[in-house]
Amino acid sequence: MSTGENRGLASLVNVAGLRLLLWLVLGAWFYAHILQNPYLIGEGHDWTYFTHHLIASYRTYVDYHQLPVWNPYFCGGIPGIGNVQSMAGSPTMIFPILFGALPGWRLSMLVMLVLGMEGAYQYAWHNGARSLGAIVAATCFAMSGRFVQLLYDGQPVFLGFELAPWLFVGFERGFRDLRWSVLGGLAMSVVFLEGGAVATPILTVSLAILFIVSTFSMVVTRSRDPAWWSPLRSLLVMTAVTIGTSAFRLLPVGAALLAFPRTWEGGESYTAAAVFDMLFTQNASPGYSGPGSAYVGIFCLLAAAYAVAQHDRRSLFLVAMGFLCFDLAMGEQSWLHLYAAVKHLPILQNIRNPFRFVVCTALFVSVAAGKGLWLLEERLLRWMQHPALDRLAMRFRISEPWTTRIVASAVTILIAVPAYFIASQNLKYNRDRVDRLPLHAVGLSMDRPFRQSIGNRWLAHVWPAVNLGSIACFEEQPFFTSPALRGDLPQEEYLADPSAGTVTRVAWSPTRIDLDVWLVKPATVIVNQNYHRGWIANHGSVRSIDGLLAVSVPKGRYRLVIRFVDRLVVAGGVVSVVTTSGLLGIWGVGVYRKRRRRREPGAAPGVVPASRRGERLGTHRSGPSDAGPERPSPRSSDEV
Amino acid sequence: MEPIAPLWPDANEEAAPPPAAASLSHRILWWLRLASLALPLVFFAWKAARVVRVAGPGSLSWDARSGTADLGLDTSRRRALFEELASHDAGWKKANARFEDDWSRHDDFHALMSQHIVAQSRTLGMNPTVLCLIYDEAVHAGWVSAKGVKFDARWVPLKPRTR
Repeated sequence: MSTGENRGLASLVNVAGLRLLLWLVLGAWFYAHILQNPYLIGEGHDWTYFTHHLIASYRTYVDYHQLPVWNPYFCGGIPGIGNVQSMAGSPTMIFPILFGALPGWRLSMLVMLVLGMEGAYQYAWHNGARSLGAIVAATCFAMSGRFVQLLYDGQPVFLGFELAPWLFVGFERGFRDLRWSVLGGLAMSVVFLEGGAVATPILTVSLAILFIVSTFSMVVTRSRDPAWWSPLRSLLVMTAVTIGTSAFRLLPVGAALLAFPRTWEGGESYTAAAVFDMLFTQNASPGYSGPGSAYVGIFCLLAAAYAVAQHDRRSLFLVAMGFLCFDLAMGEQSWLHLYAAVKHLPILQNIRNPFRFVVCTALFVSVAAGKGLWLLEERLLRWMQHPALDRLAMRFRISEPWTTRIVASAVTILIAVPAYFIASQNLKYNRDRVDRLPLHAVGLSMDRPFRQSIGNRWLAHVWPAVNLGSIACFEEQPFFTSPALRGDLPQEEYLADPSAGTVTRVAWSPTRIDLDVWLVKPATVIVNQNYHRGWIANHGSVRSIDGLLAVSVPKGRYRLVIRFVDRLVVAGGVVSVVTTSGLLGIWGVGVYRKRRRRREPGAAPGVVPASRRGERLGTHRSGPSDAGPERPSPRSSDEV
Repeated sequence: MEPIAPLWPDANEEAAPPPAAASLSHRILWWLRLASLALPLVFFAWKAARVVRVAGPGSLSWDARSGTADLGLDTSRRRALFEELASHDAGWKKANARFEDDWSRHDDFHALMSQHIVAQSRTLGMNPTVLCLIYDEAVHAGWVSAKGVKFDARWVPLKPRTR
């Protein structure tokens, strides 16, 4: 009787298309409330803040066909892509561009949820969980409470946390196959591009801990396959890919953070009981970091405990990783003082909100729970291999394949009971919270000539929708803002000395202003926006007057064009294009070589020339989606 | 006694199957798997169509001749709404006097104003954008209320948030 993973439900779930369909259906059910109301936003202040950045980026892309490197709609003009909290450069902006700002944003949230489920499924599969176990791990993590709390807090950009399992599975599978490290690096890049001011440092620290624990365990166990240096190699490839693909944003963000650091001096601490309650206690209104704000459910923990009780070393490893993240989530009260150690590291001294490490705890516990379910399924299958059942099958003349199918189906039905309790406990609570999310109407839109208004940062989403800037603003980073900014001026571009002539706006866009200038003497044109090193002009010289953008221009009648060109974005963009092209090129060469090998005479199906066996082990690793019906393993093909 | 499983999944467990088997059944299965990818795409397209079909909040038009937004309100109604907003000015300023720095005072003033705008828009059945634009255009036109209130068009530069 087969005990392989390709039986019953597992075979179905291994088909990538069916699995993705399952995630989409579940995701659409989970997010039904926000998908049915795409034009309503939550009440938290961050909703208005992030909706502002979304609409500002959307307008720049769609109305002006420009890259949102500069956001003139907030604070009198601040970096767009160079703002670490903005999603202006995220690949998920493709959905707002295609489907409209707000509907597209909701669809991008659904896609992130699906990616989270698929990532957790892949990580569970990598850890040996199959079938219902892997499905439960995927749903428990991706629909855990922290991702619902983000909607209450108004921080949908932090859905980048959904990509956490892709980082871990990319890193671990990269020990043997660097293509997985590349995938992990791409995932990290998306986390950062998505506006990952919080997700990036937290996931980086979690990945660093996974690296240390992996290397340590390999050194201690004298592992040869994978070798002790494999984690370092995988991490380096991931880092290179992340830096390379996100360089167009990394460079301006880095420069902005050096110039205007995000400082955080407050100490944050949570007791072990408080962190435990976040994960495993239900509460009607959990609040920012209260009980139930990261809910995965106690059944999930019990299933993980069962896996550990079965002496499964991977589950023990997962639970240990979950504990380390739990300890980090305690902040200043950390038992192992990990958080204090992290705060001593360069760049990370301003890390905040340690409670968000519970996302990683939720992932490790969910995957261990999935493994527990799979181990239980395996145990039930072994019990069902009783000779009495074989005799019964012989008596009724049931062939062995049918016996296998019947037994596998019976086991799946039996396992469905605990799987239902684990998943439903989590989903019911969290989905109910999504349904109860209070929403209110978003602003109206209007096309009109741009100007700065005094605005209001507590209704930040209103202003870019009507093409007005809000100089009243709030940013976590103290970007440079001029004290000379004024809202609602008669003219946004004017002469410092009005007697020098006239200046008339011809065209305006976020990164380019065309002005007709007629001057009887040299003068200074002032623009009611903040000065930034990226501003350039085709006449005269750009400078700052009281922090405002100003251009000293000669006398005469001509067209003055002021443009925003951030050289760091350009340089980073070149690096990103080269990296992406390089990765695509390497992938293309790999596909070409694979096809050519297949066409080689004598390459019988399923048999690989002896000279390439090692190469195949290094280059052909499968994910669950590749695992088809039972095929000979590489070892058995070697024997051929 | 059962052997202890290795901590890291072994290479055979991770390794892919050999290159696609050439038998017809395997080829059909491979094509079916590929075709299955169309299912989530179709579902996503259907879901996207449903989300996009939801009616939006609408849009306002811009009257280029008068240089104001067409809010569907006459000047006297705009003026009345502005007066109502301006009547709270003194109370809001008094409330934020407890803050030490300029930025916080300005910010608290705007917080109270935004709460009022949201509440007022619910009472009047208006979108908050309409009230925001009345406020904005009043500042732009330099309106002064009957009690002599003129909203401030300045803002204070950002300050670092440390906790």
